[in-house]
Amino acid sequence: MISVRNLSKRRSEVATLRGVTVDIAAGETVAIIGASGGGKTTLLRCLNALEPFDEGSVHIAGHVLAPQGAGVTPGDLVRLRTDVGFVFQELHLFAHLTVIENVTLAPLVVRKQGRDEATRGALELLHRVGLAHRTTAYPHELSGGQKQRVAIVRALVQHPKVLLLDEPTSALDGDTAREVSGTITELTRGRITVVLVTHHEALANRMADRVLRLENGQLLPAGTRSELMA
Amino acid sequence: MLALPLVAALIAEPPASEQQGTAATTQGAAPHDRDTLDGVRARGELVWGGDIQGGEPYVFEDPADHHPIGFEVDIADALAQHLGVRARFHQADWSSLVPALERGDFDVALNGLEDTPARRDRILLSVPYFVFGETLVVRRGSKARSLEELRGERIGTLNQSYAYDTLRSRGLAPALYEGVSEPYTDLELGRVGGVLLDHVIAARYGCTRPDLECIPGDVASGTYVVGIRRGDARLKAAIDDGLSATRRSGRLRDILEKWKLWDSRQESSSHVTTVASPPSSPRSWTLADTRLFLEGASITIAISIAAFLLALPMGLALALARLDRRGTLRWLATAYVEIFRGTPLLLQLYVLYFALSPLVRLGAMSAAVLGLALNYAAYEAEVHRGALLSVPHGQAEAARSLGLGRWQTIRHVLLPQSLRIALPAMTNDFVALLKDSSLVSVITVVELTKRMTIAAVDLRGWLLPGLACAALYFTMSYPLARLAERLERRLRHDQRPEPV
Repeated sequence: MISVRNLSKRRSEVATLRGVTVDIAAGETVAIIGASGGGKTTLLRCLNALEPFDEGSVHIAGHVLAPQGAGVTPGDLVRLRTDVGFVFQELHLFAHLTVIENVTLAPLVVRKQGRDEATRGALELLHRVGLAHRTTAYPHELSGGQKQRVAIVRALVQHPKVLLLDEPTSALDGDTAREVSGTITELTRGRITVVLVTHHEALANRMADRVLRLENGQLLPAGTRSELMA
Repeated sequence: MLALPLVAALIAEPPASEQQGTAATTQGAAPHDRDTLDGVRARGELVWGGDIQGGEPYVFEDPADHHPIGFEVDIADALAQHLGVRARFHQADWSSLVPALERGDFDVALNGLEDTPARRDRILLSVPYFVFGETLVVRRGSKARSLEELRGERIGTLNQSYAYDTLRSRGLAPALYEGVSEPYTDLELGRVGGVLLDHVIAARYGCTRPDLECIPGDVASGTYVVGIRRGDARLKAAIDDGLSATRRSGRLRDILEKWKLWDSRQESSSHVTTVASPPSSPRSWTLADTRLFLEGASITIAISIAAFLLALPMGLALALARLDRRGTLRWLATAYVEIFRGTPLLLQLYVLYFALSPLVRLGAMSAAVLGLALNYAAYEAEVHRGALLSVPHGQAEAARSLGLGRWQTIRHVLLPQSLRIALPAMTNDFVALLKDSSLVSVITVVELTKRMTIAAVDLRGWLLPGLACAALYFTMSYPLARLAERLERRLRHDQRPEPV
């Protein structure tokens, strides 16, 4: 489902990637851990072309990305992003839209669904995350956990093949974090390929089939440094 | 052709409201316990007020060295010589010559000042130094040969002129200008049906145009006189004496001949009395005034709303262009904003209405609306640009991550948020536009402020028309100001920063 070859990014505001290579199978959940500033978020953003890279290639959900976004048309980007969902660490829920409007915006505008169809799809997912009663609330009226779930539903409503999650629980307290991670697992398990980035090892171990460590822009198998050196 | 007049006289000739009712025993700034004549003699100079914008042959700038020349310069010199002093010219706006005289800005007003009953009530007037006729100018081939046949059409003239009084006394609709060339330009363009002005002006600025025709015979006639403050009886006597002496000696005729102004009218000057008799006695506020003021206010609000409705989408488009990645579009939009913000609205109105008239022939109202819209678009562009930039970057990124294109992101995510941010500033700008709309009177639109300056002349007082005008502006702008306040409060409430 995802195949990254020699991905390098030299000038990044946050971090640098040095020849990252990784393959992720369909339906697999992979966690990438590592210290902040190690390039985790940058890698994630490169995977759905929110940021260009300098060298290497990315194959993701049937789409191909080349350095500097070469050969990618706006139409390609739209298809890529309907196939690859993204949840930001800061969520970025649309402040002027209600929960249901946040979730149905892409189906209505990008996929050109009818309002009924879009609303039906959104309500189904909102129901599954326990937010069916909050559809008319604005983001600032929601709790942290509720907001996180809206962001996840917004990314999943287009039925992506891949879901990219940036620190999905970092803003939540322990109990809520566990609830949210449970929700994610329940919604994606086996059907959607998930790449999640976190600095929280327990979460990674709980959710992921495989844990990778990104350090200084290089991807290492999970485990401690001493194990690797041995 | 005159250069574009950049200075608009928004202040019409106002009566001395401070002195209302007390028959002018007290005066303005000048010391009046003694006659100005003593001051003139003591200083050794006679300061005379006029407006260089009046143009050839009255008072105008010598193209060589920019000092004032004209037949009135020569007359002033002759008068000063008679008084044994030097003459010094003082530049003043023509339509406010009388109030400037009353304020004490100069000793006498000497610049095509016509002898009218209204002026007679207000200041002292000398014996005449020139006899003029009012000449009607129409487009060549026009069927109209008299003022009566132009009833129902607007007739161009100068504000505060004798011709203006003549038109009004006959119930005709005047279009008011501040310069002598523009009425004839508008006549050529068909914006007015005819122009009524002094024969001196008509001969130089109207009859010379191939497309225009001067109707022979004076519609009315009158005289130019020197204006002197009330209370300066001795100065008036000295000026009268000087003018008579100048006439007797033949010097006046020499001067007028030098400027090609001598004609049969001048022979009879001593017998000329005012032919047209415009309403002269001060009247009081009537229901008709109220109706005219409300009409003026409705024109003000109509122009403002139309202009703002145009300025909004233009400003929005400019703001988006300024944020575009493409350099040319960004550059063009920036240039537009800087030019329209960096030059006076008044100048833009003149250019749009007069200078560009050979290319685009706009009616006065359309030019007013478009001029205000073009100017305010620049300000709205900055409001929207700021508002768009203040929407958190993550909002656009989230839209992109969902597959929204650039335009979809703007339309569905950025604009709905930025418009709310911009709303208070937009409301404030509309209030500013409402007041700036008074400037369109320079292109002959009679809106609220113009209505006020006209009424001030008829009522011989600024106070009542001024208060009525202010009250109407306030009535229109205050609810908007409150609305802006409320919007701002609501915005502070709603648009909490997106918690991380």
